[in-house]
Amino acid sequence: VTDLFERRLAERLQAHPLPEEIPDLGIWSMRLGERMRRRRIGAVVVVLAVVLMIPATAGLWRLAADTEESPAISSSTPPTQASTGPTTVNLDLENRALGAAPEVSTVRGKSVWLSSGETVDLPAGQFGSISEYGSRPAWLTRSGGEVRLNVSSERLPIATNGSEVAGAEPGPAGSVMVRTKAGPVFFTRGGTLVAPSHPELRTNRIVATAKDIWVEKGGRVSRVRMADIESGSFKGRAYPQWQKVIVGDPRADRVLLIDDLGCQAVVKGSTAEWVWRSCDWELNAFSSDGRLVAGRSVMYGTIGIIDLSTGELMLSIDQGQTPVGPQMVFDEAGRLNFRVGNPAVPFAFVACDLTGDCWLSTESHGDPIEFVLPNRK
Amino acid sequence: MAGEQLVVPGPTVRSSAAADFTAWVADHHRPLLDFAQLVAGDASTGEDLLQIALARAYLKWSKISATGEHPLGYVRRIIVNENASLWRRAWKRRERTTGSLPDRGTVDPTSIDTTWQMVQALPSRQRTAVALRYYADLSVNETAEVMGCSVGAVKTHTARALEKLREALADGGDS
Repeated sequence: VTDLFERRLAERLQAHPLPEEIPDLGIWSMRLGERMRRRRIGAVVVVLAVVLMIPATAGLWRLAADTEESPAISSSTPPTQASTGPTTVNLDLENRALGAAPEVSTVRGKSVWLSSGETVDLPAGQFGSISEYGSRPAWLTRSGGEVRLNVSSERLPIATNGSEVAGAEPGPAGSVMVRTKAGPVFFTRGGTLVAPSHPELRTNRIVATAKDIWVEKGGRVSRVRMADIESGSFKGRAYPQWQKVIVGDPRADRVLLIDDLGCQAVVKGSTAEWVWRSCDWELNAFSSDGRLVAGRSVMYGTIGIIDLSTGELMLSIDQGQTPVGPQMVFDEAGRLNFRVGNPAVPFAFVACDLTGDCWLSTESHGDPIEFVLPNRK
Repeated sequence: MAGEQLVVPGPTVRSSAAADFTAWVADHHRPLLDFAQLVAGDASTGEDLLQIALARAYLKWSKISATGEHPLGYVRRIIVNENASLWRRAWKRRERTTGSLPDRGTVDPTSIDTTWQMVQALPSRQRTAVALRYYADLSVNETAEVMGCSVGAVKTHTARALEKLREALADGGDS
C-alpha cells in the first residue's frame, strides 16, 4: 500500500460490515464435503468399470464379425427414420428487420413501455427490478432512508438503505415480492403488506411460484404456501433432494432447482411434482403455461427452447457474434424475447417464434434496456 | 414427489477433527464470507464459493492441521481458484428472473458501500487482486502465489483496477 488512495481503499474495504452469521455452516460444509467425497469415489468406480468392459466388448465384437451374420452396426444400413431435429436459426442482426413490437413490458432508459403500448415515466430514486402488479408496473424508490413501493401508500418495513434489495419482483398469487436478507416482504393482490418473521425465511434466496415460495437456507430447500404466510402461520415442507433454488416463475408455476449432482430440475411450484431434469442446459425462462422452457446449452452456448412435455428441443438459436443479454422472457403467444447489444453496441430487443422467425422488436437504444418481470394477472 | 414436514434433525459432530473444523468455521466464516462476496462480485455467488471452499477444506482438514498450514490462507486460496473456475463455466452466467436493474440512485464516492460495489464491479482477475491486496492485506508476492500468476501480472491487474477505481471514485477527493 503505497499512496493515499490505496490506503483509503484498504481502510474502506476492511471497514465493510461483516455479513450475518450463518448458523451451522461448518456442519453443512462437512456434509457437502462428504457428498463430494462419495461422488469422487463413484466416478472412479464408473471409470474402472468402463475400462474393464472394453476388452470384453472387443471380444464380443470379434465373435460377431466371425459369424455369417452382419454385425449389428453396418455402414450400409439406412437410417430407420430420418429425424427432423429442431429448427435452427442463426441470429445475424444485419439480416433482421424491425418487426412487431414486443408483447411484454420493457424498461428503456427512464421509462416503462407497457405491452399495451403506453409508456410510464420512472421517478427519481427508482431502483432495482420492476414487476407487473395486475396491469400496472410496480417499482421501488429510495428516499431519505425509506424504501417505498409505488403501488402502496405505506413505507416498506425494510431496515436498510435499500442497497441490498434487488427490486420489486413477482410474488405468489399476484403479489409483489421484495427480497431482503431479513426475509421477504409481500404486497398482496389485496393491497396488504405482509412481512413474515419466521427464522426459516430470514434469507434472500427465495423464489416465487403461483401459490408458494421456495426457500433455500443453510443448504436446505423448502416450500411455504403463500396462504399460510398471509394467515401468519408457517408450515414449511422440506425437500432434501434439492440443493438450491435458481429461478421461480409465478406465471408458469414452475421452479428451477439444483440437485446434488449440480444438474437443473424443473418442478411444478404448487405440488413439487418433478417435470424435467437436465445436466446439459442452463435454463432461465418459462412460457406462461409452463410448457416451454428456454435456456442455454452448456456445451454449445446456443439458446434453446425445449418442450417440457416431450423433452424435445424445439428451436435452437446460434447467436454467433451477437451479444445477447442473459434475461429472456416468453410472451403470452409463446414467443421468446431477449435483449441484444452491450454497452459498446446499441441495445435492442429481439423476438423469436417457434418456427425460427426472429425479428428486432424495438429500435436500437443507447441505454441498458430490461424486461418488466411478468406476473400473474 | 412428496415433501416432508420441515423437521431437520440437529447437526451432530462425530470426531475431534470435525469438532475442530466446525469450531474454526464458526469463528472465521463471517470475514471469509465477506472476502468471498468481494471476490465473487455478488453475495449469492460468494456464499456458494465459501461453502464449496469449506467443503474442500474439510476433506483436507487433517492434512492442514498436521502440516500447520494456516487454514485461513488455504480457504482463501480455494475461494480464489473456485471463482476462477466458476468464470470459466457457462452456468455462472445464469441469471434469476428476479435480476436487478442498474441502480439509478445517487452515489456517495466516499462511502464504504460505494467502494465495495465499485470493487465488485471490476473484472474478475482485477477484483481478486484488489481483494487479496487491500482487503486481505497480502503482499504482491503472496497475492501472486494465491492467484497462481506472476508478480508482474498481479501488478498489472492491480494497476488497472486502481485506475478504474480512481476514475469511478474521483469525486471522493482522493488523489
